[in-house]
Amino acid sequence: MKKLDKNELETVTSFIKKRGFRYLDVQCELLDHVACRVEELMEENPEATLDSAIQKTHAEFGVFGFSAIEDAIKAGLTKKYNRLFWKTFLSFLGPKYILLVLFGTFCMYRFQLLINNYAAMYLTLLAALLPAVFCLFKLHRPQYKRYLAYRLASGYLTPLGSFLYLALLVIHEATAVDGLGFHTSVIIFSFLMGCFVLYFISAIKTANAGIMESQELRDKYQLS
Amino acid sequence: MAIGNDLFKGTIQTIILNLLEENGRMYGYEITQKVKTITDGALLLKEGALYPALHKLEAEGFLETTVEVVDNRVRKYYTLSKNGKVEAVNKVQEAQEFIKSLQLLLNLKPSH
Repeated sequence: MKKLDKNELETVTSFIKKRGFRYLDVQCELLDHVACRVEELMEENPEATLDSAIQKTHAEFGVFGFSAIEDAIKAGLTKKYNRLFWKTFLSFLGPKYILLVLFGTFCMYRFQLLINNYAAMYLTLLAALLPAVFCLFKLHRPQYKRYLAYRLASGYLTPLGSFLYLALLVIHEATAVDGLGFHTSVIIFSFLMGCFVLYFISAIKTANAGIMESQELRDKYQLS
Repeated sequence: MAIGNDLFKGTIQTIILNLLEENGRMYGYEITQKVKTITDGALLLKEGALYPALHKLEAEGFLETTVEVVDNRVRKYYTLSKNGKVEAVNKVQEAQEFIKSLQLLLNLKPSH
C-alpha cells in the first residue's frame, strides 16, 4: 500500500492551509482523511501525480470543499463544551452543592448588611475581581491560539465581565436618589455575585478541558 | 445500483455505532471504506455526512476519541463509550423495527 512520505504530507498540509483552514486540530483531522484518499488514488493509478491526486480528492468533497469537515468539528466542539459548561453550572444547583451555594450567598448578603455601607459592595466586587483576573491570566495560553478546541472552550470566560458590570450598575442604582433601596440592591448584588462565582468555576473547568485537548494533540505531534 | 443518500440519511448514526460495536475502534476514512466494502459500493458514506454525525455522537458522549501518530500524521480513532454501547443496541433495534414496518408498507417479504 502506498504511503505518503513527510515531504508529500507537507504538500498536502500546505494545500489545506492555502484553503484557509488555520486551526491545527482541524488541519490534523483533514490531513489524515485527505492523505488516506490520496494514497488510495495513487495506489489505484501509479501514474497519478501527487498534485492530481490531491486535486481529485478535493473535488470529491463537493462544492463546499473541506468546509464540511471544519463545520462538523466546530459544531461538535461547541456542543461538547456547551454540555460540559452547563453540566458543571447546574451541578451546583443540585442536591450536592445547593445548600453550600445558598449559604455562601446568604453570608455575602449578611456581610454587607453588617457593614451597612456601600463600601462593602465595592469590597466584595474587588474580592471577586482579583482572583478572576489572576485565573484569566493563568488560563491565557497563546501557544494554543491556533487550536479550535482552545478557542471555543476559552470563549466561556469572555462574558465574565458582564456579571461585574451588572453588579456595578446595581451599586450605582442603589446610591442614586430614585434608585433601589439598600436592602433590595444588596439582595440583587449578592445574587449576581453568587452567579458570578458559579459561572466562573464552570468557565474555568470548560477552558481547562479545551487546553487539555489542545495539549494532547500538541504533545502527540509536537505541533507549534 | 447505488442507493440515494436520502434513503440512509437518518440511519448514518446507527451505521457508525454498529460498525464501532463490531470493530472496536475506527478512524474517519476507515469508516467510509468499510461502508463501501460491506455494501459492495451500493452505499457511499460521504465526508459531508460522516463527520457531522461522528462529531455529534462524540459531543453527546456516545463516542470517545484517542489520537495517535500513524504514518507520520495524527490519526483520530473513535470508540464507543459506555453510553454509546447502550445507544448502539437501541439504535440497531430501532432500525430493525423500521425495516420491518417498511417491508410491511411496501408489501415485501422479509429476506431470510
